[in-house]
Amino acid sequence: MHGLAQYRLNPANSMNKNWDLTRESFEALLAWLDPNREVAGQKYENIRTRLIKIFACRGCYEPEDLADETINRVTNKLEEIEATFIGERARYFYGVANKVRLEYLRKKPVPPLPIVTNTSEEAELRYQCLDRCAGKLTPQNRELVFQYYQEEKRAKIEHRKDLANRLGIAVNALRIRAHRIRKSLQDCVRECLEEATA
Amino acid sequence: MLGILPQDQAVELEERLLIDGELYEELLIAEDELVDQFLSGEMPDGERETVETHFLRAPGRQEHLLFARALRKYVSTNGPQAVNNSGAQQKTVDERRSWLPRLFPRYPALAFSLGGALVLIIVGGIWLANRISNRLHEPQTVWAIELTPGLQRDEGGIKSFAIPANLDAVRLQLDLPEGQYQSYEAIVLDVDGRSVTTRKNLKAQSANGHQIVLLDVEAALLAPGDYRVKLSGLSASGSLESLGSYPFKVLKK
Repeated sequence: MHGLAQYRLNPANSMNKNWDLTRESFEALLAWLDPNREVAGQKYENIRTRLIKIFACRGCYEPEDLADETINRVTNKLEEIEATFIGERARYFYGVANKVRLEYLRKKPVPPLPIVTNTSEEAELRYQCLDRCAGKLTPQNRELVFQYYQEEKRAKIEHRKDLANRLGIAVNALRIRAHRIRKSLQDCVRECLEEATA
Repeated sequence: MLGILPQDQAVELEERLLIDGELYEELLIAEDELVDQFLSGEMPDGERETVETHFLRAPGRQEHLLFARALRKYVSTNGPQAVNNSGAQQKTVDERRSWLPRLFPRYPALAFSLGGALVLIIVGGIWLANRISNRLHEPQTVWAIELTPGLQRDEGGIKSFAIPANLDAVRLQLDLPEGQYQSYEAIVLDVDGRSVTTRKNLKAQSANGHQIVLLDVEAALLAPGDYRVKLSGLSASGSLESLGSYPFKVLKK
């Protein structure tokens, strides 16, 4: 579980510069999300991560900023709503997120398509990081990644069925397991790249 | 992900993403699979263009793409197939890959397109089946409980019941007050006012001359304790109007 100090405060690039998330207001937000601070922290992280994903799915170029702006606005409204609001808190965030997105669309011109840059040096560094991170996996998980992501097209589907049978799990459970290992690898590679370029 | 979902469905899905961890993870898996298809060349041109113009617009997704590219290279270089790349094994793989061209020897392009379409259909089918399974799961064993609105604890009329073991769901029958609405929304709240589950677009039904709404709640969600169902009606103008509260108590088995 993350500690409180790790939660993001005062987003750097907020649409609304007139109001920033202070520690006190952030504490109030956590208290509103759940009386248990640990649970509240997890809920906060889930909501922020998913808001980012929703904005990204809507084609917004700055999903993290928009998610932070949404959280800012909800926090700013807390005094008005906390006494009377009943139900799933996350739904309130979603309503605010829709307004934020509409404002963003009115204000922001559509940016040019980003150019995916990946020089040979960057690609090599990424590969080295991946190699290092894969080395940290358990032998079982490392083997599963190799098995799951080999083959192409039709052979891939058959291969994954065989792999699921060998592991004694359903194909969908295998998909989830492979995804979780892949995500841990991706997070590890991101940290490795940040360290290398710091 | 591709921006092609109708607005109303997108809204419903996004709202659920915020509260449904399994659905969110399913979305992440679908993103992995989409990126892998994109890189493998299995994707039709139209869909490929949509990925380039919509999906990859977000900076995080470019990172996703670069990672997937590195992973492909890493697995092909270090995986068991690379290590045990014997001629016989390679032949088997080639044979498996080439069954469609053998079916359509005069039309290799058609065979390739059909192969790609088949992969998409299967992957899409798995994705759809999972979503349907997650979102539209129908309980096999249900138990009906009739609830009336507005009863307070001190009136002694609160419905109390224990949920038998091996029950999939409890069907709550909510007696409707006066007035007709296009549809109804029901939120089951626990004693602390936290949402246990929400059902939208419920329709009124007739039962013994009364108008009712039926609400199925997974038995696993109802631990012993006090609950209430908050019922709202969706008016013709599109606004939700609160219709009342239906308290009930789940007892220990």
